[in-house]
Amino acid sequence: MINFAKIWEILVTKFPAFMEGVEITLQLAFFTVLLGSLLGLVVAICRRTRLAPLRWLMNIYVAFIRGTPLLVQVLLVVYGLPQLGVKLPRMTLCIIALVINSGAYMAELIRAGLQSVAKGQVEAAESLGMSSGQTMLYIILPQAVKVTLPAMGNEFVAIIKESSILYAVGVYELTYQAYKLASVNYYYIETMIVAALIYFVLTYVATKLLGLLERRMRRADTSAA
Amino acid sequence: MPTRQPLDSGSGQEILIQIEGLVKNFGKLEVLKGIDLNVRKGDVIVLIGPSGSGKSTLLRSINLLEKPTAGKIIFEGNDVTQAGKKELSLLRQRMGMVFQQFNLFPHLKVKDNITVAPIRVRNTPKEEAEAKARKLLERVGLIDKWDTWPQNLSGGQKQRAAIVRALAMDPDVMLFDEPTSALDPEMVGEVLDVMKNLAREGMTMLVVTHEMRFAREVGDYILFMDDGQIVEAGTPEQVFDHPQQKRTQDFLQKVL
Repeated sequence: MINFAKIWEILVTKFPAFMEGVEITLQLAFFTVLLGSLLGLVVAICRRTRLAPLRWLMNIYVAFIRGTPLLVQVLLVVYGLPQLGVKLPRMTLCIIALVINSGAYMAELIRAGLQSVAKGQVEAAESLGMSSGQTMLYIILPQAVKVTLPAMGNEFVAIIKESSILYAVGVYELTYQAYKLASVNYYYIETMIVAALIYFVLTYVATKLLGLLERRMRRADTSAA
Repeated sequence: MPTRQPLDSGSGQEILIQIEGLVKNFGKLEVLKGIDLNVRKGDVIVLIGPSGSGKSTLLRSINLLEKPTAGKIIFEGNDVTQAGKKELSLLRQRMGMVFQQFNLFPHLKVKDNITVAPIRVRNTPKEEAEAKARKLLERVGLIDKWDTWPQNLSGGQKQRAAIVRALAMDPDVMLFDEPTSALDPEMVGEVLDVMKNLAREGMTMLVVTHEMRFAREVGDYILFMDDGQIVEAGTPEQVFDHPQQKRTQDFLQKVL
């Protein structure tokens, strides 16, 4: 039987612990999207260069990350890097793992965004004497970012959920907090339902806010005249 | 065998663009089969011919949007086909181009479309670039669109803004690639008027167009192209009223 009163009780009495988890979860998602999109951008641009080895390297990176489980990547970074002498806080290692993972997916999104910019835009920029760097910076990127932004928002929401995997390496994010509580109070179902509800509120609100932002950006485009 | 004499627009003064033996292949397809042409300063040269005849490719080769397979394009003393990145940028800055699909930058307002290249490429101070942009927009009757997004302009307005964008770099020659082909008929006139004014002011122009009235009225020199070659060339009177070649006659009969 599910004890519904208990769900409420756990939420109220353990609220600070859950909020601590929420804070870490959101931090993870925020830094991962921020740094992951920068990494993705660099990778996406490198995949367009004429330097074949650089292109291959980036393709291998993207293929490898997309073809292996996130948990394995996390374990590799969080326990592997310290073995190689990289001494960093656990949280930092986790962010590194998530960024490496997210960067590969972001690279694909950004590549699609770059490809969506019409060829005529490049020709117009070149005909004005712009170098390929200037064309990228002032003409292609701003248009590509706009196309990619909604997908980046989705990535943020996805990482809120996916970062729960970090409970396996003992980072105090939301899932770990819930797991820790449950292993003391033995109300596994009720405690996990609280965690699930909190995750749902987070992703729901984030999705709504991002939708609002997107609509406003689109409106700024058409009504500014 | 007689040496090949380049076609020469002849009416102007010094030669601005000298094209020698220009060949362009797309895979096995020969699009340009050895073009020789001299463009003199101040001349308006209109390229006509059936679609697929290579006239757009010829125009796009001049600023190296298409990389020629063989041949030379000497612009103001420099071979465009041999230019390094830096030099090519400098050469392109002196050649304005106007596209069939306008290719305005949709993420920039009209003013920024016009000033982005002067500011970023030529390091012109912002105030100076904007002052010049205002003056040019006024000349084409678009000053009220200064703060407008491109997507809120009509086709004719877009093309006039695109012309201004090219002029903002102070080019020595303007290349027009079917500038009115994507326009609704009622907007063709406003764009052609801007081009006529430019021609009157002495701008050197190469124009690919299907507007035969414009070609006759404004062109100093008409080139009829077919199958990758310049089939016939001369003044509008020569080409339109007394075409010598059968292919020219057939084409003109269809379009006039």
